[in-house]
Formats: sequence, structure tokens, C-alpha cells
Amino acid sequence: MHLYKNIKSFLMDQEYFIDIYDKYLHVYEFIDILVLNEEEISLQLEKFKLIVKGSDFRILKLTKNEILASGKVLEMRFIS
Amino acid sequence: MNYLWLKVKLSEKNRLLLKCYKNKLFIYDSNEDQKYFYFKIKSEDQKLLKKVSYSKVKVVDETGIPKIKKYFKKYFIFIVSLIIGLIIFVLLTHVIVNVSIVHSNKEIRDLLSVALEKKGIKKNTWKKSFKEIEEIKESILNEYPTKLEWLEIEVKGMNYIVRVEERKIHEKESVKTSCNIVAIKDGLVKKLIYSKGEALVKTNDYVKKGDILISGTLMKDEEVKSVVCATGKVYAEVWYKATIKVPLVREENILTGKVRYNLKVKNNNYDNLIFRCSLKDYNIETYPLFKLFNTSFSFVKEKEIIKKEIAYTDEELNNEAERLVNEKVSQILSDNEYIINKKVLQTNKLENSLEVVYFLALLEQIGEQQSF
Repeated sequence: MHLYKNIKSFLMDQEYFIDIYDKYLHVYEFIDILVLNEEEISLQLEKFKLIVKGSDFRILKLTKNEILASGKVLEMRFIS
Repeated sequence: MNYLWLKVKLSEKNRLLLKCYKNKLFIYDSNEDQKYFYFKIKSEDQKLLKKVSYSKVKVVDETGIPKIKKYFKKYFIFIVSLIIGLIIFVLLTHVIVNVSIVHSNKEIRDLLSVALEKKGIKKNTWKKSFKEIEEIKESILNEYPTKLEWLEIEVKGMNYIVRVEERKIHEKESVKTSCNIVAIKDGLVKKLIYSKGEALVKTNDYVKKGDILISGTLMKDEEVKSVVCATGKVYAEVWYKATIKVPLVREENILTGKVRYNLKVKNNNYDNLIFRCSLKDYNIETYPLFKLFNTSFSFVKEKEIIKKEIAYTDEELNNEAERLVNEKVSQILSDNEYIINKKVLQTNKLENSLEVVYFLALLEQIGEQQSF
């Protein structure tokens, strides 16, 4: 596990990730979930708030600091 | 890692997700259909479900060790039977139930059977490895160098088949120093093949029994030059009269179509039929089923027959007589000997048989070495 942690910290040396694919949204290292429904996902990150609006959002994975959702992203806003 | 798949009504989904997140109940995969939302959590997080206070959540499936345990409980009898079956199979394929020694000489068979038993090649024992068998073969051959020429131990299923070649020590034939080749039958010489000696006859000479054909005494100018052992072969046309009797009727078995089924158990070359056959005359057809240790089981069809006497036609009688005479002659002829001519001298129709007298002209080897 020690080795795994080392590799992980080596590869993920960023504070956070926000990845948007064709039909997926992946956010890593968020702090809290503010809104979660089919049309909107709002997340609190360390330095800003992320608001993603779209349609048919479905949560595929949800852990302490990582969220993977499928759906169509229409709008994205960062609020400091 | 052990996981649980849970389901909840689709309308509860968003509220549940937020509650789960707040209570640190993490979701590792999810899916949904028209009615339900399915999600995957760690088995150890199941206790957190109470905090989420979602009594409507139902467990649908589980993965990892609990699932294996569940399957094991469900198919316990099948799995145990399978394991026992496999163990029995492995045991049976590694056990020898019969050792058969293939040789016509009983003395060799007995000798080998004792030697093999000493080395551990016997019934109801574990199979030996290839290396062990090779070592046993070598040690037995070394033990009996004057009796055994060659030995092979073949593993066939649960049997050892031992093939052996007996060592035959031939005594050296006493070397003849002076001999002639003499006719043992009357005949007309057709072919002479010789490597030593002097031919006293030539092709188409008529010779009588006792005549010297190839002489071992080599002459020159009426003087004996040297004496050798004449070696060679003299082929001559020899005439015979043979009488063949053919019965006028033959017995034929005709199937009536009645069939009885039976089971045969063969143990140590003894056949035992399970059911007694009610048919008077019948033919047997055997269909092997399986072999267990020393006992083989076969399925048997007993087909009823009627014995019927059928009269030969004239043509069939002649053909049968011809076949019998050929068969008789072929028994006395050796290599390079054959029938030159064959004629029917006389045919007598007796009460129950036909008697045919043949004249036969055969090409035969008539020379024999005789010392002088």
C-alpha cells in the first residue's frame, strides 16, 4: 500500500482534476457536494465553487473526493 | 474486495446520493432502470446504511468471498460429489488392476510373473513412473540374461501389458563336410539352384526317389578332386492323385428374427450370462460396455437360428470340390512351390456325397542333403 500511495502521489501531484469528456464528467479532489440532481452538479473545491449544468446527469462513482458522472454538459462555471 | 449491490426507488436517488456522501458511504458503481437505482458499496460500509436511515434500500447481489460462500452453500452437495468424483478418478487412473504377460511359453510367463512381482509390478498397486519401469525392465533383463532377450512393459489404461521375447541359444549345427543332394520323390526336374557340388541331372530329366541330383564329390578326369557338402535346391514336377469328397447338402443357419437381450460379465476369462437364454439354437453378438478392475461387462444379443439343410447345385458341388483340393494342396506346398496343372479324372456320385478324383501336377522341391 505504501508503494501504491507513492505512485499515486507521484502521478497525481495536482491539487484537483476536472475532466470533461463527450458524455462524462470527472472531478477529483473536491471538498463538498452542494447540489446534486439530473440537471446540476455543484461542487466545492478548495479555492472555488464549480457549477456544472446539463441534462441526464447520472452518478457512476461517488467517493470522498472523487465524482464520476455521465450526462450532457451544457454549461460550466467557476465561482471564486 | 467485497462489495454489495443495492437498489432503491429511482425517485429517491438524488436524496440518497447526497445523504450517502454526507455519511461517507461511498458509491463505486451505479446503474439504473425505469424503476430502480442500483448502486455498489463496500460490504464493510453496510452499517453506514443505518445512518443514512434508508430502510427501503434492498440488497440485490454481492461480490467477492460472501458470494462464493453463498454459492458454496447452495451447491454444497454438487461440489462435494464433484471433488469426491475427481479424487476417485485420479485414484483409478493411477492404479493398476491387471498385469498380463504375453508369451506362449508358460515357463517364461511364470518366471516373469515372479520377477515382476518382486519389483512391485503387480495387481492393485500404484502405477510406476516411466523411469521406474525402465529401471525394472533393465534389472529383470540383467537378472535373466540367458532366458530373456527383450522385454517391454506397456501401460494401457489400468493394465500393464508385458511383452517378452525368449532368448534362444541355437546350438551350432554340425558342419557337414561331405554330402549329396538326393531326390526324395519321383519327378521331372524343372529347376536347379545350387552353390556347391556338381549337378548330375538337368532340366526335364526324370528322376526317381533316391537318385543323386547334386553330387558332393567333384571329379576331374575320372579322379576325385575334392569332396564338399552339396548345397542347393532342385525343383521338379511331381504328380499326385487326390480324392475329394463333398457332401451333397450343407447346413445353414437361418435367423428367425427372434432376439433376446442379456448381460455378460467376464471375470478371469470366465463368461457368465446374467439371464438364462430360452432359445434353443442361437448366435451371440457381444457389445462391450465397460471394464471395472478385472471384470468386463458386455451387452449381449442372442439371435435365434434354425439349422436348415440345403442341397448343393452341381456347380456349387464342383466349386466346393475345387476349393477343398486347393486348400489341401496349399497345406503341403512351401515357398516357390505351386500347382502346375490340375485335372478332374473321375466323378462318382455316392449316396450322401460326391467323390471327385483329381490329377495334380505340382512344382516341388525334391532335393535333400544326405551325408556320405
